[in-house]
Amino acid sequence: MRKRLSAGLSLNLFLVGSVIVSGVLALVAMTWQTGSAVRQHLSEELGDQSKSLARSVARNTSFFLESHFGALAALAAEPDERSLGTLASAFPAFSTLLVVDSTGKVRLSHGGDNEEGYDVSRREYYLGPVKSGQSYLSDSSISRRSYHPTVYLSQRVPQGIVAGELDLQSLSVYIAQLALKSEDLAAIADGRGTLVAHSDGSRVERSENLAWPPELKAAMFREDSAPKEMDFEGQRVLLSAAPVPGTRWMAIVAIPTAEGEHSVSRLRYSLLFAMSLIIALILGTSIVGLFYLASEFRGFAARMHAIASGDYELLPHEPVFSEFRSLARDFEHMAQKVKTRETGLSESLEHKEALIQEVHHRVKNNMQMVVSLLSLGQQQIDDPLARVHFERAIGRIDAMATVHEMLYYSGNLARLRFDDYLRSLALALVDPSCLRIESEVLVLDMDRAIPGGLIANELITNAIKHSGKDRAVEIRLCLAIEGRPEEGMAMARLEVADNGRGFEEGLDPEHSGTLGLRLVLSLIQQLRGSWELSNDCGAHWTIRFPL
Amino acid sequence: MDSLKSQKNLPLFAIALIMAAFAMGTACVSRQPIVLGLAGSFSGRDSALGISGRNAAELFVRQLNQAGGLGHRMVVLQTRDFASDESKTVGADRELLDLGAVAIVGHFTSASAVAALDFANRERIVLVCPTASAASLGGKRDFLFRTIMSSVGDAIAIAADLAATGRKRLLVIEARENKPYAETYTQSLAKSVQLVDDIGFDALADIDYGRIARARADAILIIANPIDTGSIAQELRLHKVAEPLYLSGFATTNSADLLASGGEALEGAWFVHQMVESQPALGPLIESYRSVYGVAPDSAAIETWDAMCLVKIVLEAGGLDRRSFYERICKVRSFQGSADLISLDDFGDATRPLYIFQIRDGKIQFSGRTG
Repeated sequence: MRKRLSAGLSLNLFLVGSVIVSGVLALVAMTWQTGSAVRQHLSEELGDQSKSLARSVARNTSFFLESHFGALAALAAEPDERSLGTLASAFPAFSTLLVVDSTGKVRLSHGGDNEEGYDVSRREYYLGPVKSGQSYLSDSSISRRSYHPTVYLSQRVPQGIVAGELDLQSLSVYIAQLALKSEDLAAIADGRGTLVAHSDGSRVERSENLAWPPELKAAMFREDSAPKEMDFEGQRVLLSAAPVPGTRWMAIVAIPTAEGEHSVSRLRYSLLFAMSLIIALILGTSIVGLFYLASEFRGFAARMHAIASGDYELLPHEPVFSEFRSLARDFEHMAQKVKTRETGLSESLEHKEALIQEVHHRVKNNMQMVVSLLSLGQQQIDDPLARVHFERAIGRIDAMATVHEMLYYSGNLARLRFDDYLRSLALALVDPSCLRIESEVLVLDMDRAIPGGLIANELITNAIKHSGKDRAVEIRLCLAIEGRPEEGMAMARLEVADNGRGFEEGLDPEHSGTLGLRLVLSLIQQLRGSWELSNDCGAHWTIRFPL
Repeated sequence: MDSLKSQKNLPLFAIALIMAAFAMGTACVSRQPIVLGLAGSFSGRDSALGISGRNAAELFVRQLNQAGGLGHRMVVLQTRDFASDESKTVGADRELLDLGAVAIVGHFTSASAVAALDFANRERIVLVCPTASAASLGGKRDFLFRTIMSSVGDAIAIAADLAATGRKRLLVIEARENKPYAETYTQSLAKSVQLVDDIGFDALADIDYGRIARARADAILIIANPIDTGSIAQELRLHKVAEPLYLSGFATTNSADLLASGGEALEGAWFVHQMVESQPALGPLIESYRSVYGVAPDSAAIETWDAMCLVKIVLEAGGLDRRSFYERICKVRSFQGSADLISLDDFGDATRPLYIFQIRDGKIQFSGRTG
């Protein structure tokens, strides 16, 4: 029972463990997948936002530049001091305005240091429009006026070029006015990657450069470039870029992914926590349920054990689970039935035992009656041989009666101690001083005890009768068990020996005409036994029969 | 018996566990990045040097990390801008020190290097200066090491050319914000040349070109940054001061800015420099720098690259903290820079070849080496 319960416990543990492991794995997988899906969705949304914003910045920057190029173009018609002043007022982003002749000399200058007469023929803002014949937007350089980063817009005009130095602060102010979250970044970079506008203006002031490898620059400088997750200015961001139309500039919007990652992490942790709680609840409920279930089964097992042990007075038991209530009632009902039947059977058995005892008693008495009648009849007979036959018959009946007597008094209605019976039989026939008994404990049923007793009675009687020494002959009885009783291969060995003159030379008991010997051999056969007879300082019978 | 054996093995197991934890901890510590500081002016008047130097240093570190770092440790470059204000140099260096820098590359001007030197000596942190060439910074056992030669050589070369061309009277126009640098020239030149005037300026508008014209010097030396040098040259031309111009090494650190600023006013200007930007050995650097920054590296960028080469050698030799960095850099006597072999003397001062240039037809043309 203990081993079966341990196996059950092991099974329970295995099941519980499997549930836990499966649950945890499923939980982790589901949480991770959910987090990844949410992250993917957030990335896509953020990417769309940043791309849309980058395009908006690029368009608006383009408008800004176009308007200022337009202003320069208007200047081309009337490039004088007044028009320069008017333009500077209308477009305050121009910190300096220059009119340069075709030799590269500054003819007119407004704002900043007066560079009139300077040779600017080697400057980018001059060479650019001269070579291209078109409007030109220079890359970032350090202003000789303010030592701040600046760019120039210049335009070819019939007289030479007109150029305006653009205050990059105005671009950064524009960036700062965009509807960005405080942690989001927006910037504009020139063709070399140098920042010309940034939501953090100090980065422009320091002429910081994107320092992107050429392939990244080329990939991002496309209208259809996809948002890219990358490290930017010391943090992980989702970055979108859009070219500023008509220029080599690029508008950049970078949205840090940290918050998204935090959100995903928070979601994952929340999911983990919630699912852990659910699993813990399920587990707890299962464990409690299993505990009560095991307890119920233990209870029922104990009740079965009690019933098997004969304890029918079961205490009232209200099971935890309603499904077991009828089973509990059935157990109680069964106990009562078993108790009733057992009581009935006990009573019946007692009655039958009493009857059997009575039968043995009556058989013994009846046999005693027969013995008495035969004894009375013997007294009426004069013939000595007939008297001997009567005596022999009385002895046989007495031997059988003794069996019934022993059964009656022993309380065992079917089996008796054959060794005790043999002793009793022998003592009734032989003087104790002439009797030697060696016997092992042997219990025989009535069907073998009676034949065995009759055989012993005949042989002892014969020994006394034919020994030539009357009752002074020494009789040795030996009763032993041979073989392996535990394997069901035991034989009883009954030896009856005397120290008389033994049997006549050449006597064949099987062909003897005497009733006694025929009776002995018949009884031996009835017992399915075997016999040996030796004549060695007297007759020595050895009879074996299976147990 | 088994439990006894288990109890005996427990201390050994505990020791093994502790040692494993220690090894792991050591491994974790050893995988922390190496912090290198970079201090300079990335804005303001001196920003030309600082911007180019910063870009070169960042590119160097990026390439180094892409190649696996140093002993599987990444290098982190922390930069601080003191915006052409020498009063902020110590604050910038202090921040770099607090960030764990094992050494500081910078400062880029002599004036800022002088301003930072006491701090560096006191805190025992090495300054590796790529472009600060004042004479006053050399010849001392201190924590300042330079990969650029003192500009005394420039002055000597200028004096030699003046002598060779029979020009005896020299007028100097110097930017006052970089006084130690300017003094390197004037003090050296004063030994062999007649300095007719030494005109200092804080702003370009301060310069009295009438005074310059009246000085009737045989030649004019301009000691200023590239943009100011170009503007001064333009003004001299406008004021019809046609004396031959000699330029300082500072002016030529960014030749593009110099030429754009000065235009034809710089025709014939003479100067010496410690590198030839067009030499073939610089090809790979020029290519990688241009691919990232869209423009060829100027002298400041190349000289900073040389300084980073020295820093890398020292770090590779085990200079992974301030003390060991100093000990190991003191042992370096020569190293391969971006193009040339650079020698360091006992005081950590460089010796490099000096090249002569002249501006002709709007271009800087190499004229040879000094003797």
